[in-house]
Amino acid sequence: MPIITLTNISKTYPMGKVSVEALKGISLEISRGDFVAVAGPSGSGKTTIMNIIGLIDKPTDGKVIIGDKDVSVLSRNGLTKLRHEKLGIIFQSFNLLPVLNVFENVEFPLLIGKDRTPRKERREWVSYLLDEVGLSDRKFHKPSELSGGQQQRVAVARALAARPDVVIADEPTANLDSETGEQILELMKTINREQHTTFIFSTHDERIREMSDHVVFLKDGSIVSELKAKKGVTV
Amino acid sequence: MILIMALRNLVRNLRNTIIILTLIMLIIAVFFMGNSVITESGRRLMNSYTESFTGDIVIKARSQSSISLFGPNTPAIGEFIPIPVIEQYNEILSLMEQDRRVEALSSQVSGAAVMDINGRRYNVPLFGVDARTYFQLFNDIEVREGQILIPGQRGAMISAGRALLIERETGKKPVIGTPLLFSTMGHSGFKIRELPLVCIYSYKNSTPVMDEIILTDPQTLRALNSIMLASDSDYTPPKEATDLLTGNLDSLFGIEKSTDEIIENGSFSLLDDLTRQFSLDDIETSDEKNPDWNGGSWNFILLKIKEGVSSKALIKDLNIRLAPYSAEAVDWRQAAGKSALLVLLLKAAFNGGLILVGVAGIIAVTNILLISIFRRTGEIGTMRALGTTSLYIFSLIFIENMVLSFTAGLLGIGTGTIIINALNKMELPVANQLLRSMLGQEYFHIEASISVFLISLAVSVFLGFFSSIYPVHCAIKVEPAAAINKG
Ligand SMILES: Nc1ncnc2c1ncn2[C@@H]1O[C@H](COP(=O)(O)OP(=O)(O)O)[C@@H](O)[C@H]1O
Ligand SMILES: [Mg+2]
Repeated sequence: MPIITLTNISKTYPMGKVSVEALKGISLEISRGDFVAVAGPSGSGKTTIMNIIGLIDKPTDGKVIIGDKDVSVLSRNGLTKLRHEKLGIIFQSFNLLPVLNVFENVEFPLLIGKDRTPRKERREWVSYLLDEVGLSDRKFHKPSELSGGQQQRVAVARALAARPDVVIADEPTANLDSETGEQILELMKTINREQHTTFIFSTHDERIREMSDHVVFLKDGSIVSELKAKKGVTV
Repeated sequence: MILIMALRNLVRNLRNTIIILTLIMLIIAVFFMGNSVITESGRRLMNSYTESFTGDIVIKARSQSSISLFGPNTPAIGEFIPIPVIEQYNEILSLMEQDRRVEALSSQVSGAAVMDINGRRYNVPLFGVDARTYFQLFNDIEVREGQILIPGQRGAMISAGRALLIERETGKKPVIGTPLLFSTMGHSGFKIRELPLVCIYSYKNSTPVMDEIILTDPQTLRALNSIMLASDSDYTPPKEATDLLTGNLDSLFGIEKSTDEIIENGSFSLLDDLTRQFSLDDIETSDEKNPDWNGGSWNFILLKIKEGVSSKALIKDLNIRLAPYSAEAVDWRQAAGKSALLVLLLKAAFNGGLILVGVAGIIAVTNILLISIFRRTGEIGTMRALGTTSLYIFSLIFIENMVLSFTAGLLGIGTGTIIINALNKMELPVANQLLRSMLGQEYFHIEASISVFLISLAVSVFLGFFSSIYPVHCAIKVEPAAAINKG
């Protein structure tokens, strides 16, 4: 069963008298554990579709199913809860909380939910994640003291903290130089392989198809083509 | 975590924090100092009034209009309103004497008269007191010259303050034995009595209002007031006199005027004439000649209550028990009448003004907070996108503002306390008459009060609360999408 199913999603932004059709009836299935790239030129609707999958925005029409839940019936609080339990989000501009240090930023998603993991276990898990992203020696730094690449690594760790089913990242490398961007993608891929977490990320870099299990090509709000690699074949 | 974040947010937005802190701090400092002064003067006023002339509780006849120990509080112009006497005085007295909550009591007749001394005239309030108990009840009364009234003795006692005033205005110091002439004019006619000055006294904590009081024996005052027992045969003045008085008193002076005004306007001739016309002996009533003068009527019973007894509770209880006697119990403040209202009025005026300042403060703080929320929209959106509930955002912003206003409150109280202590140390003389009568002290000295402290703190938290409502409302409406648009 796919972990995410989009059926006939469309999104129209009202712009005064005219309206912009950002998505035009998109249907898509995402399998558990896949490393999924949404590729397309600027303005093709990548951000719009990522926001809809990330429950940050609502489609004008169509159905979004996450796990086995139809999200259209959920309240504002229900959406928040589902976002917290099932999704991890990585932002284009990192969005770390400026008053928290690196460790606290990663710990944050674990402190806001109902789930009360014991403190010791929680700290070990956060330390493990920081180790994974290679920032063990920056635990007590403030975000403002880190480089962009380091900040995005913290964001990756934070997205993983609450053990989500799916991590969603809209152009996570857009604000990084290409070398650092590649390192971030490598990191995500490693975690995808080790922890079997589903990753969906958008990019306008066509080269990304080589490392992905599933690539969705968008143009003008429609899927122009889809590429699915057989599991284990691509790397 | 929320608390840590709240504190760090406050530190991070240091400029806003300091502006809000200062604003609330100033308001609270002013509130704290003002109310400390007012509370202190209230306390001093209460102490000096209850120890000097009101007692803790006063029992009086139930009346339509409000009546204090000085008489009706709002006399109609040109109309004489008699102070009602306590109807079943003896029954009530024995009730009170048996009440274990009552420490001591005394009785009083009140009135007002014109006093002639050394060729000068003064409008004076008269307290006809029960000499057997009055001076035990009010041990703040200190004899300067002469001797206090003894039971059955006729005479008048004036305050040292008034003696000084008389000396200043007439050039002659009143001496013990000087005859004082008291006259009244009511609807039952004109009365005049002469009393020897028996005592010049002072109150431990005097105020100008208290210096006005003249203490006399009760029977003379009853005669001046025309209060008589049913058994007493009332005095009927000769026909010429009644014609003169009841016929056309008002028209004599052209317009309706109160007795006070007539006298102040210097139209003495009528009184002088009447004084000449009737010898004093002529108009003495049987009440005054009656050796058992304690049987006379009284206007008030003054109570001092035992320590630890709640005055409020006792008044409530007494009012239930006194209802069948058509009498009522009132507190010292009501008994003192207008003179005790000054502090309350001042308090109302001061805090009324501060409410306006407070509202302005709330608007200012609301604006600053709104700007700060607007600047943090992206951050709030990020938290929402990470799965924090609106309740979490609500708590975060709310805790921030509560910590801020609470701290500002403490700082304001601290500042106020420092200023008050500095003023106390300077031993400033209180020069202003009004202030002096309010504070009841010659040197500025204010003691901090727990209740003012707590109220000030509560006010600061209220300020913080009210200025948070709208900004918090805006903060919880921030959508996760703000993380992307504003992040
Ligand atoms: N908030 C919005 N209001 C109006 N139009 C929008 C809004 N967001 C996106 N669009 C439009 O929708 C289309 C798709 O945008 P977007 O999803 O941001 O594309 P991409 O992320 O691929 O660059 C574009 O034409 C864009 O101008
Ligand atoms: Mg985009």
